[in-house]
Amino acid sequence: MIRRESAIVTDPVTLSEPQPTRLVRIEAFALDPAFAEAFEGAVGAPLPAVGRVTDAPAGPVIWAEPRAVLASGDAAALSAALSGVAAVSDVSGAWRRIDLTGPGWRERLMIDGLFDAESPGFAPGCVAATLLRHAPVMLCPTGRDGVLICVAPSFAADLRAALAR
Amino acid sequence: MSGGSRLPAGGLIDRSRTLRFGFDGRDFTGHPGDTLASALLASGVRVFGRSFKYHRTRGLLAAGVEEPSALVGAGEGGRFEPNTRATDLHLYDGLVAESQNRWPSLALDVGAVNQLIAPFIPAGFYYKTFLGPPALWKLYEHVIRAAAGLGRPPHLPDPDRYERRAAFCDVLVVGAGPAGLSAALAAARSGARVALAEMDSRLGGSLLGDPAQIDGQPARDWIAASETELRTLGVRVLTRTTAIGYYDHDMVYLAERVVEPGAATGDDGIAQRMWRMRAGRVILAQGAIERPLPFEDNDRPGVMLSGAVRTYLDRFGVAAGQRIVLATSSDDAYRTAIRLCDAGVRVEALLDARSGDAIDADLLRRTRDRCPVETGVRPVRALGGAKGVTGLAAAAAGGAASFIADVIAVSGGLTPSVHLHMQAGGGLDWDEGRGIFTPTAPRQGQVSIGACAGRFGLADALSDAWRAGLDAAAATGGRPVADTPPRFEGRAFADQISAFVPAPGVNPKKVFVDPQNDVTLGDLDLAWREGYRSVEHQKRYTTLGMATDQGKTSNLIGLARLAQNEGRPAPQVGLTTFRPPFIPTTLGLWAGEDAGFHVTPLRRTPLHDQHAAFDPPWQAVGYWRRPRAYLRAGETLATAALREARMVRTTVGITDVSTLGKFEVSGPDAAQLLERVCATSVSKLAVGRGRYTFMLREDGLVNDDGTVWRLAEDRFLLTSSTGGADRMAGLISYVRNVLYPDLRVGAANVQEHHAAIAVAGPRARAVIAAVVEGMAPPRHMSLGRGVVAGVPVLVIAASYSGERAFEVYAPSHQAVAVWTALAEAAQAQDGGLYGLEALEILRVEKGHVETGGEIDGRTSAHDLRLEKMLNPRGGYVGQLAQQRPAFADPDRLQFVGVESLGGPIAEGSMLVERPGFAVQGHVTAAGLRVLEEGFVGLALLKGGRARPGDELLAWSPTRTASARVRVCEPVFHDPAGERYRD
Repeated sequence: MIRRESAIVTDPVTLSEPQPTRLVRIEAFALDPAFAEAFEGAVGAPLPAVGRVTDAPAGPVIWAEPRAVLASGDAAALSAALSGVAAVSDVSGAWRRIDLTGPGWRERLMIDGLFDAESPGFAPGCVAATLLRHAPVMLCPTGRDGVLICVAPSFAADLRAALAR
Repeated sequence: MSGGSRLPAGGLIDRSRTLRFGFDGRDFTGHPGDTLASALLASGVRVFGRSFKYHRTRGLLAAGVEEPSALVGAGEGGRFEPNTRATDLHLYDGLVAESQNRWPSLALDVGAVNQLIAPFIPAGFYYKTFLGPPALWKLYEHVIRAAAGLGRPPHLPDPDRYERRAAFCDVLVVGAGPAGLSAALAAARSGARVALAEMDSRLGGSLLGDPAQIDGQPARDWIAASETELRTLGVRVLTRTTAIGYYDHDMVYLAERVVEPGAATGDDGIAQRMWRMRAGRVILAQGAIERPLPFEDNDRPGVMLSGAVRTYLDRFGVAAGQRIVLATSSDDAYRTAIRLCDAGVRVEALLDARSGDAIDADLLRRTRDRCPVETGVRPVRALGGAKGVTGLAAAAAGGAASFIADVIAVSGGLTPSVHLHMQAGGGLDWDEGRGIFTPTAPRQGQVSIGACAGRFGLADALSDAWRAGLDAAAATGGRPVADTPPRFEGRAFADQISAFVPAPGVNPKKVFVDPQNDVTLGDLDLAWREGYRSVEHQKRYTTLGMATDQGKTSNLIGLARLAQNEGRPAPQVGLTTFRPPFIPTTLGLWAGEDAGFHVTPLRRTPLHDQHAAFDPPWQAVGYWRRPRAYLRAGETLATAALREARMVRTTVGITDVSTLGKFEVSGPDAAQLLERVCATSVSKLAVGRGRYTFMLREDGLVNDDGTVWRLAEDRFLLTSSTGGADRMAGLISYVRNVLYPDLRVGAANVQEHHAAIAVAGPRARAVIAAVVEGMAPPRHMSLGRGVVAGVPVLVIAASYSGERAFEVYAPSHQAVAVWTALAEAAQAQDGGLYGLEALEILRVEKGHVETGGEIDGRTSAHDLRLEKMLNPRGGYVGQLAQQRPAFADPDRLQFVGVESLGGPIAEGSMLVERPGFAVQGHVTAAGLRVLEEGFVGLALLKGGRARPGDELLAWSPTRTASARVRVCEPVFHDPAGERYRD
């Protein structure tokens, strides 16, 4: 829908919520070559740089904190593989995924948002942790027309309703 | 005949279409492009409203947002918006508007009687009402409160939506007049990401209707070409959007009117939008505001700003009057006179306070070719009455003169709009000759250009703005283009002098400075005589500049008067603070979507729907909602809570405790980290065991409490309170990343990964045994792992209720099946669900402290009787701070129990000897005994640990409740802890 002049262009978006997958949080004891090597061996992808996402066979690996990433996989297996260099915790229930797709996804994230989702530099391969409609979220562009929103389950219903408005 | 009229041609309105609207019950017509003000003026309306205090009639003074007088209510029902400026309300078909501050009608207003008692209600009169006998104030108060307030609020809910939107840009340009357009073009051509905000519905600002030629083309054509180019370059062009506040770090709030006040919204239902624009650089091109001249009765309908008269002519094709006299101290009025004459409107005379040799000879000649011009002449008094002016009396060195006129167009010079510059922390320079403040010393990324920088000439504005646009682009990573700035080759004619002092002999009590609040020069003089010498005091005593227009046309005149009375230069007198918002905004715009049900986000536990099925009363716990009780037919909250508490004491109950904070700490140094976070020892905990723990702040006071469980040799689960969960996350992160970054440990916040269900009561063990496969119920403060309904669970044995109890942890996305199985098993044991109210009754009786209750940010471990649990090896956060002398004060508030010697104890009661005596403490929580008679409570009492047996009064005057209580140990149920054991 196009509103007055060119100020506001609201393109359609669609929301979907995939089934929860096994998700782990990996926190390095120290960001050293030993950890990086062990990580790549265990996860199958290099450690993502700050604010970046890398693709691994089991799914995306998302930079989350200075020493922590989120990855898909079995917590026990990864814990064993990374023993001595990192702590692995099962957080499968801690995040809910919302896929927002459509050409209007960037604009939709600006409504009651704080982060510059309209920046051309915010492209696939990036991740941003921010607040959206008061909810703490991680945003990972998945392509030209889509973004993955990771949100705490307790906020998910309200956020989904707000994004659908 | 007098009043305005529509000219046969001219203006930027669409004469091919007619819009119908109503004002005070009368039907009018206008055209697209009109404002309510221009359409009413074109219809001959002169009186738009009444002033606040004296109810004097008011007409139009201005043509923009600075209008102080023509305030109306717009719209109907929930869309009604009071105090809307008729000059800033763009006409739409079906608009319904009404005048304000009059009863029963604009023409016949009872409140006008105030004019008769004006001598008795000068500035600050209501402050003086406080000086008399208090009984009299009761009389005054009724009258003053009845008269207070301007406009009426809507009585129905607003049906529309208000959106809040974030936006970012390299360069934000505020104002799309000639300077703003020039700056935006330069920045955009240089590759910057540019946003342009304009409060009007079209770009151009003062250029609209101006006959100037820019780059060899008419100004209107240049505006259109500029707009096309800006949009092509991807500039975000926001019209009907006003920059209302400039905050830290170059955050500018922009208020966009998506639809006009009172109008129906589009499909999306959005009436207004608040843009929170974060900019790399901000170019302020807000222009200037013309100020009036001081003379008697200068508030009468028909006294208008010269620039406004020109705007109505050029923009709307409206002649403001039939016979116009202009009074000025600046060049700007000459432009108005020339435009009026060229449009065929009769100009009786142009009266300039300046001497003839101070005025540009060419300008003087060109104007005299069209109308009489008298120099060295100053206005003395507006002639006429409530219906409008009929003429002007003036004075010159050679004598007096009067002119017949239905409009007196005045120009006391231009005042740069420095509001945003000042909100951004900038400074000002004083230009004594022109009587203006100009911006200097920017503190953030702002730069002022054009008229708001005191550069009133068009050529200067265009070139300055161009340079500012290039500089802003360069500062934000752009590559400045080598193009030349837009070119205007005419002459500026932009001189002005200070004209704050009225002509000799003028009565200051009749010279209005703030026409909305009826503040006169006499009021300012009175305030000064009564000792209000600070500009801030003057403002508040007289209400100067406190009206909806925030003194846009009046503040500088008031400041000059104060400076004159003080005998000091204006800069030494000072300025009042420029506060956001720049224009009045609706409350809805600030609230955005955070209204009604959405006023705060709602956090749902994984079992929310299971609770909601019972339609329970909810308790807000931060953003969470938790059921207070599961009421049965005929039950009140209190009776349901007592039933549930008794159920837990006698059989078994289950409750959702998923909101608790939970952290998984793992790694070789996990115990070390926890012994720094927690004030209790952790490292000696055996695998499979848990214990109560608490954490201190760095100042030694108790931060939060919870339990810690050793899941494996190098893996722990730490729980904390619901309210303290975020605080604990911060503390753990701080200890791990800042204090001890070399520890080989990871700390994951698993609050939302685990759902948690408490099972409590004498039959809790039976429930666990029946439901959890693969493990036997663990003994108290032990844990086990099993499976419930196919879901792997962690079961810990801990009690908050004082009964044998367990907490069952399951992944939150699988929790419903676990809850269902436990609920069915509890029911089979004659048990059921219990809510927060029962939980509170049970923990009070057991004497467990609670974060937010007894852990209130002021209590130490000793105060809470926890000192024996402190880790003797130390090393934890807050350890050293406990040695501060204040911690040994015998009068510290300490944790005690209180048992009632009579009736119920009110929570929050003060503990006193007798009503009115010194407060010795307070009741933090209270309830009744679950299975026995009587009422008990927990309290914080001065020196309480040494006072068992003392009798006090628990007194709550706000609840009109009191009860005699006896101080005791804070455990009323099973002090030996025997019920924890099987």
